[in-house]
Formats: sequence, C-alpha cells, structure tokens
Amino acid sequence: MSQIFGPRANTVARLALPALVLVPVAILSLVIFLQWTDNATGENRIVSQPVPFSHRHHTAEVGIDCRYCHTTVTESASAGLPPTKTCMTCHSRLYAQEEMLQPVRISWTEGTRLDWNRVHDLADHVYFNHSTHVTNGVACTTCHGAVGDMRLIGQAEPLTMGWCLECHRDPGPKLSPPERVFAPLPPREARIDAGAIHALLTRYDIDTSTLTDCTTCHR
Amino acid sequence: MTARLLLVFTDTASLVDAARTLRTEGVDGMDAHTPWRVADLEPVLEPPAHGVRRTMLIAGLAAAAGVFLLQTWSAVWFYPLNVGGRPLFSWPAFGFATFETGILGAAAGGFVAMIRACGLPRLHDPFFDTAETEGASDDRFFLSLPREGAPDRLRLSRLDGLARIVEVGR
Amino acid sequence: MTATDAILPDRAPGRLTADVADPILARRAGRIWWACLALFLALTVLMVVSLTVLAVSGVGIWGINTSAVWGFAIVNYVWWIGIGNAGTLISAMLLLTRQRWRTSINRFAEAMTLFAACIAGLFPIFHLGRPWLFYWLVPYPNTMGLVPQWRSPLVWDLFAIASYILFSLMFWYTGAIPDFATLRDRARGRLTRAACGILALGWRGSARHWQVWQGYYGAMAAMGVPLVISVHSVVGMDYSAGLAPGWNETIFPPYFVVGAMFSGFAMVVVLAAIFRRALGVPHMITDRHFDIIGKVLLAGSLVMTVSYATEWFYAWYSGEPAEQRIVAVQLWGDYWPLYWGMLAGNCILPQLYWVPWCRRTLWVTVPVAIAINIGMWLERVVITVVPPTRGYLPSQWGSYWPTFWDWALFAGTLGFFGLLFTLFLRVIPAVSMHELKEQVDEEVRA
Repeated sequence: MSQIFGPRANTVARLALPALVLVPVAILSLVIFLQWTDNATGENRIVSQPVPFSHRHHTAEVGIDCRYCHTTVTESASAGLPPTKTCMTCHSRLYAQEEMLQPVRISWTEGTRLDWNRVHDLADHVYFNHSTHVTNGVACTTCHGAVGDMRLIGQAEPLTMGWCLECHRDPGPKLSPPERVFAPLPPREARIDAGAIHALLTRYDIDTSTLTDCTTCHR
Repeated sequence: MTARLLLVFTDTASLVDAARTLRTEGVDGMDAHTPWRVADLEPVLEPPAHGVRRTMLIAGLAAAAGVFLLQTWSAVWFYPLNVGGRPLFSWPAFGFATFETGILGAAAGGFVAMIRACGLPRLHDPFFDTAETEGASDDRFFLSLPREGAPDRLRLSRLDGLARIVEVGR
Repeated sequence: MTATDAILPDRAPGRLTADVADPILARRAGRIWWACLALFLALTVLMVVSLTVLAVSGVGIWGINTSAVWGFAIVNYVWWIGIGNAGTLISAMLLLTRQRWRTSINRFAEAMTLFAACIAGLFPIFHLGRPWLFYWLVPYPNTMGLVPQWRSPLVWDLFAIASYILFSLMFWYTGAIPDFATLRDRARGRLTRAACGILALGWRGSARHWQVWQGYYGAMAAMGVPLVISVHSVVGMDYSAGLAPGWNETIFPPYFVVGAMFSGFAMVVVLAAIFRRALGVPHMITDRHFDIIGKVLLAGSLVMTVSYATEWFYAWYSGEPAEQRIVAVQLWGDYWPLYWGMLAGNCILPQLYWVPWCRRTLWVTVPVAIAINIGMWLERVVITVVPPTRGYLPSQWGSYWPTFWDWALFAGTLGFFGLLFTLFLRVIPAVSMHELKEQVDEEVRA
C-alpha cells in the first residue's frame, strides 16, 4: 500500500491551492474596503461632551456668529475654543440655575478648564490652517457640515487625505462668496456655474497649480 | 477509465526502445513515468502541446501592460505631481516596475498553467496504489499503457530489458 | 580524465538518490549541525532584538546622520541582494548554456538566493523609519488618494525585490517538485510522507509532466537572466538616480550587476565547501567545480578592476572637482583602509585564481572567496558612505561611524541566513536529484 492520501484529498488540494492565494487576497481586500467605512474614518461620529452644547440652538436658532466663540478662526491655524467667560457672557443671566450648565458654572467659579473633547482630529503631520481656508472662501459648513442643524456636534465628513484632495484638486465648486463663509447652514442646493466659479477663484486669487504639492499640507 | 499496465524497466534505453516498438505496433494512449526527464521519449509518445509558454507570454504582457497603464494613469491623471519640472508622462521611469511585474506575471501565470496542464495537484491517484511505483522517482522507468487493447503478456514479456509488469486500477 | 576531473559523479542513479535523500530522511543530524543551529539561532535572536529596538526607538539608534543618510542598512541591503543574485543566475544562465556542472550546485545556490533576497528586503523596509507603513509603497486603493511615486528608486526597489523573491521562489519550487516526489516515495515516517506528498502535489513523473515541466522551467530560466540583471540594475539606479558626486554615474547599473554576481559566486564557493563537507558528497561537488567557479570569479574580478579604474578615469577626465574629491577621499581620506581593503579583496587576491592549483585547493579558494565577500562589503560601505558626506556643499560634509545596533543587525542577519541554510540542509534535497541523474544518464548513454 502506497497511497498516502485518500480520494478526497484531490478535491481538498484543488480547493486549498487557489485558497492559499485567494483567501489572503480576500482578507486584504476587506481590510482595504474597511478603510472607507465610518468606523475607520470617524464620519458620523458624535462625541460626548462635558456639557451637551447645541450648535444648532446657538447658531441657526439664536443667531450667534461662529466667530463669536471661535475667535481666532480668521487669523490663526486653530479656530480657537472659547474660554468659559464667553459662555458666561450670556449664561450668568440666562438659564443661570439650569442643572445642565452646572459644569460651566463650576468652571467659572473655580477657574478650572472645561475639557471639551476633540471631534475633528487630523493627523499630526498635517498642517491645517483655518484662517487660510476661511479667508479664501471655504465655508465652515464645507468641512464641518450643517453645524446649524446639529444638536451635538458630530464629524460630518471623513477627513481623510483623499477627501482633502477632492477639494484641493478642484476647489472652485466648493467655494462660497465671503458673505456665506460663516453661515451656519450650507446653501440649499449646490449651484455649479462655471462663470461664478471662475469669478470666485479670481476673487480669492487661488493658484490651483500648487494646491496638491506635498508641502502645501505637509511641512 | 480502464486499468493500465505498467511495464517496468531499469534503464532509459530499453524504455525508449519498448515505447518505440509498441508504438509501431499501434498501441495508443501510452504514457511513461520516469524519475527524470527522458528527452528521447517525447518524439515517441508525442504528448499533445500544452501551451504553457503561450500562457506565460499572455500573462506577462498583460501584467506589464496593466502596471504601465496604472503608472501612466496615476501619474498623468490621478495625481499629477510636478517633480522638478519632469514631464508627467515620464515613461522611462515607469519601465522598471513594468518590466519586473511583467516577468512576475509571466512566472505566476506559467506556474498556474503548468500545474493545470500536469493535472496537479493530484495527491490520490491509482498510480500510487502499489508500492512498486515508488521507484518511478528513484531509478525505475515505467511505460504505462491501457489494458484494453494492449498486446498480450507473452508479447510484452519479450520486450528487451523488461523487469516486470504491474497492473494499476482506475 | 582523472576521477577528480569529473564534473558528474560516476554512480548509479539509485546511489545518487540515496546520497542526497538519505541525509535528510535517514541520517540523524550530527553534533556539528546542532552546534551551528544553536549559534545561528542565538544570532537570529540578536537580529530580532535589534529590529525590535529599532522599531521602538527609531533609526536614531544607528550611526546615520543628516549627511550620511544611508549607512549600514543600505550597505547590507546591497551586499545581501548581491549575494542573492548568483543563485538564480547560476541556475538560469548555466541551464540555458547547458553547462553540466550546474546540476550539483544549482539547488543550494537558489536557496542562497532566496534567503539572501529575503534578508536584503528587510533592510530598506526597516530603514524607512516607520517600517510598519512599508505597504504605502504598494499601489493599492487607499483613503489618502495616493499612489506611489513611480519616479522614485525606492518604489523601483520594491517592485524589483518583491518580483525577484517571488520569481526565485517559484523557480526554486518548480525545480524541486520532482525531488519532493522522490522524498515522498522514499520516506517512511507518516508525517514526512504527508508533508513531502503535499509539496510534490502528486507528481508522477509522467511523460506529460516532464514535457510541461520542461516547457515552464526553461522559460523561467530564460526570463531569470534578464530579471537578475534588471534587479541589480535597479539597485545601481538607487545610487545613480541620486545627485551626489560619486553616485550620479551611468556606469553604476552594469557595475553593480557584475559586482553582485561576483560576490554571489564567491558566496557559492564558501557554501559549496561547507555543504560538500556537511553532506559528504565530494563526488558531486568536485574540485573541478571549484576550478570552474574560480575562473568565473577571476573574470568578475577583472571586470570590477576595470570598473574602479573607469571611475578614477572619469573623475579625472570630467574635470569636475567634486568627483575628483570623492575619488581622492576614497583613496586617501578617512576611509582609506576600507577602500584599500576593497581593492585587495576584489582586485588583488583573486589574481591567485590564475593558478589552477589555487583554484582547486580548497584552503586557498575558500579564503580568497571570503576575501572577495569582505571586499565587496567594503565596496558598498565606501560607495554608500563617502559621496553624501563629501558632496557639493562643504557645509553638508560629515562622517559616519556605525553603532552597536548597526553591527548587531548585520551580525544578526548573517546568523539568520545561516539558520535558514542550516535548516535547508536538513529539510530540502540540497542537490537537484532528477537533473543530476538525467545528466549522469545522458553521459552514460553518450
């Protein structure tokens, strides 16, 4: 007797041999595919905060400008987080006894910081500059979504490099006129009008040829 | 499939002679099992063309073309990047990956084609039924012919250098 | 012809099978084998430790700096890939030119190729700084919207090395399938039989099998030669695509190819001597083999000498002060012992191979081959370290000195190579049995 394997071994081998290649390929494809899902990018993620601050109420409903709290957005890389003092300009009077605002009052009386949790977190090797974007026609809502409609702030876009590049390759259609940059809600319908796009690009003096250079975002 | 007779020889010359003799006597469907490639046997047995090299050529060209087009597409349209003023379609630089992948594609495609043309993997085969055939990878030479229509044993036993006859089933 | 002049053993096929297969199947490993295994295992641990420390601490643990940016990682990469070139070259080129002395050395030379190429591939990856991101070199769909930079030698390297490793693996395995069948039929242990049976895929050595096998194997050999040349040309391009004086030279690709084969053949001599001793097969690897490889090495040495001379000549003839400075620094600067060591190992000592007695006498051949390997390693050090530290800008001038971890990784990879080779000798038929028997049979009938 010299048979080492039974008759079924042929079928097994015939399936196993391609599987040696196909299974790793399938696993890799799955992993690659998963990169785009919300779990990997953080899109649609809502982060819990010490105080359930509603952007919808404060901007779209009450009408406070973005820059009232994010004071450095037009001048510096970071948009800036408001100090507790900014909250207290209203809330020393309005809803001054509200349970929900207890952490704000504690922060105010004790001089401790309110620890907000970061929602839009880019990799450290990306040098994102808020002022460059908002002074060149990129509206807040272009990246942050319809903030004026969010009770709790969430991540509206994937914030991947590919997503950045979409706009950097062809910024025209994403630009807003200066009066719309700080609007809390995006325009109802996106209007792509070649003439208007050209006018905006000229107005902001955007040189599209260098926008995808490595050093534009990575120093 | 029918059972087959395996004629066992101890040297290649007798094997080739026997194959040639039986061939002229009109025996069809012969095969051989040898521990190394016996080149003289091929013109006698005339195994059908296998097309492995054609597969290699096609796979190699396809892989090379695919990688070249990928490079061209990505460098010219997908992410045009100005590197020191060089043209976007800098094809001489694309040659390296194209060549290497072409060779790899031909090798991999040929490997699959070879395995398939040989009918491998085939871990279980009637050939392995008997321990006699273990010599086929050492220093014994087997001429295999279908039992149906084979010359009778007496005729076979007169072949020069025949050591013995083994029968394997299907 | 005397017995020692023969290339092929004068033995019956059955004896040859036993000679090759029995050390694996029947004979138990000797004390020397276990000692080697222990030593190489210890060195492999050292390699793993140094790679771990590197991954945790970063490339700062090496001696590289802002001037000498490449250092040992690239030196060893080029050295290993050079050694990794000879196996496929011997196997493919000698098969195409029908050199009969190929059959007893091609299997372990191919193993050498595979192991050395895999080790070589480690270095550029760990030199990346963030080795866990090496897959960024592969074009795959990603959320970054990026593709590799096709004009970068690093990407060429990836394609060259990856293709080469996979190609060598297929070439090697294809050649070994019939031998796995032999082991399967010869082995008595259940596990060995099953393992070899799977590796042999059910090979029955039928006329059809051999015809198809030959078609594929021959075509692989024909593709192997240009592949080897292209792989090492790419390594040469790594340097010559750089703008540093001393790197930006058109001679680099061919000069690297020859250098690689030179060091690879030298390594074959060393391994063949060890292997002949270890398996006790002086009838398979005869003095005549060393004689022939000695001639190849001599030719390689002469080409290398001409290449060095060409570099000196063009430095002078170009009138470019930076080029001349590089040559002067190499010859008389801080690293002069390395450069002269290289000349001794690559150009001067191999001249002994003019004498037939030296080629055939192992205690001359092997030391010279080791000297060549050291010489080629020194060459890579000199090429890698000097140009960037003596470039066009004097403000960029610097120096390089390897650290403990540089040496540890190098020693570790040597041990890892030894480990793989030690295991190889006990697991896989180290001589291509079927080709050897085919050659012997043809000789008998002729």
